[in-house]
Amino acid sequence: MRTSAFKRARAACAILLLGAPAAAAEFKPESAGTTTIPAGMNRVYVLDPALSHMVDGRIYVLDAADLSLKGMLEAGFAGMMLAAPDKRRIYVATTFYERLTRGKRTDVIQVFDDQTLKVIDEIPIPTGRAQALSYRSLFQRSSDGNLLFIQNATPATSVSVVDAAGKRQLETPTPGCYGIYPAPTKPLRFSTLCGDGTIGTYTVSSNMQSSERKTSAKLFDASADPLFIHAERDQDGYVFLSFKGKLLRASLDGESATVTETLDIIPADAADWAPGGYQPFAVDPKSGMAYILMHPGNRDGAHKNPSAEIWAYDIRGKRLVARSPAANLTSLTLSAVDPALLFGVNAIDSKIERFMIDAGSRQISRAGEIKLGETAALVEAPR
Amino acid sequence: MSDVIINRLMAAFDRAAESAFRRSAQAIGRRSALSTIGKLLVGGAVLPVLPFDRSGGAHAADAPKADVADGNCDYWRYCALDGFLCSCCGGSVSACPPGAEPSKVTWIGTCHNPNDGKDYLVSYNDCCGKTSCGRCLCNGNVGERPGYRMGIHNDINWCMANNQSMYHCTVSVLVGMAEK
Repeated sequence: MRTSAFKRARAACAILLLGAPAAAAEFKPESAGTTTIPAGMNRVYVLDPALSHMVDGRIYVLDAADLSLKGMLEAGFAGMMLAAPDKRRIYVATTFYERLTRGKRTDVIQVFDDQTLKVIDEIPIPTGRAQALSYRSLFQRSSDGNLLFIQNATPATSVSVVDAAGKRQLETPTPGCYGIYPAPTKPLRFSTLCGDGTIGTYTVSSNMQSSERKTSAKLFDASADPLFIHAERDQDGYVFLSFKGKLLRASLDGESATVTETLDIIPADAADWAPGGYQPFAVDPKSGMAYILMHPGNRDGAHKNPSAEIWAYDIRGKRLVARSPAANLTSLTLSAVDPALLFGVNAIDSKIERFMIDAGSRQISRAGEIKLGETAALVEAPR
Repeated sequence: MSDVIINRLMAAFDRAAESAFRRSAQAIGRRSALSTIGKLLVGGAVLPVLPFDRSGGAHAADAPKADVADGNCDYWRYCALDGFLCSCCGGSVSACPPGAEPSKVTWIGTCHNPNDGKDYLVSYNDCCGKTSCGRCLCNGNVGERPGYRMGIHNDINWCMANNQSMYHCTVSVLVGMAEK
């Protein structure tokens, strides 16, 4: 057997050698190249802080059409992400240490081109940046896109205001407050949630030398029913969500914040249900629909628990429209280009999932997934 | 949670830095009566990823008991611990692994010890200056609140005020009794 096999192999080699000159003439050598993200591709960005090796956080860039992986951005240690599709940029505020895990700490905003995924600029920032899980509200920008707002915590809290172009900076102390909610139409203004149940609103001077604070009335109960720091934009304001399932519509454009409406999403026959997760809901500003990650077991300590269902709540009609099974999600976002598409982080199975919303019934069904990353925390679909 | 308790927690938060090295003389039962509800079962596979709070999920009398030694997230002291257990990383329940230093600032949990029926204030010190351990990730959130209540917030690196601020793992140090 071995002998005949050897003979066959030798004959095959001879044929190959005889054919070699002809094959060489036809062979066209390849050259290594680099892909870029197509300008028109709708993207899903997934920030994974890689908790098991935190110096190596990354952002995955997926095609919203089929969740295929198209590229990555480096997010460093406890990085925060902010997509600026109008400028074709992605900002990443993060920390680097001189010797990877030790040595001098340097904090920067890395500015990525959103097609080449290369770092095209870097803005140094103070090292008081909150090295926190990547909640959306910890890194924001002004309504005109010119100022970047970064949450600091040492653990005393403040907000750094950074002029992305001129690189002027201002640090605004925000004692007892956390989360950044830029005013919808006032570029120099942002608000923040405070531990006494008020909302602090800061207006920065146009020369960026100082800021003025106005405190709202007490708008929520930070002890009995705290607000998640994830918030969503409504048509002209913000929507906040409480641990016990209340939606608060807030106006944050004025010198001080007001709550315009409070809606209880939990019906009497589902009193045991509560919202949960790190990015626990998404709002479609056009239709006024809120999509909320819900789980049974409404008790203290369950506010980050993964979902069992996604609830569709009509903010304008003030009613729960649909409940759809959707297990193990801890973060949810709505596509900015297609309000029938949701993307979620399945933290239990380490998957990113794609969901379609039925326009009539608002029932939600899964339409794609990718096994990805380790501890993804934030998902955005901004363009 | 009442504001009275919050104020007590904040006071404990201030004290916690000094208390970081102090191991409690309090006798702690090795066995916790908190039931475990087993591993998260998804599609038949045992997935140890992100073990969210499951303490209220089941209380079957014959459920296996949580043991501090086996890295079980259901051990009562870990009720608000979000991070890697230092006891899985070369340290112990209250001591950092070699080369890592306890954080100067901490968050505080109030955990119920089922063995004596009392509530304890637990200082969760992150251990700092070594690379992330990556073992025994727990995610307890009893009494946890967003960062506007920073002293009881756990989604942030509490090594933030240390000279070397790399996060390694988290210990649970008993720093006081909580009054009901």
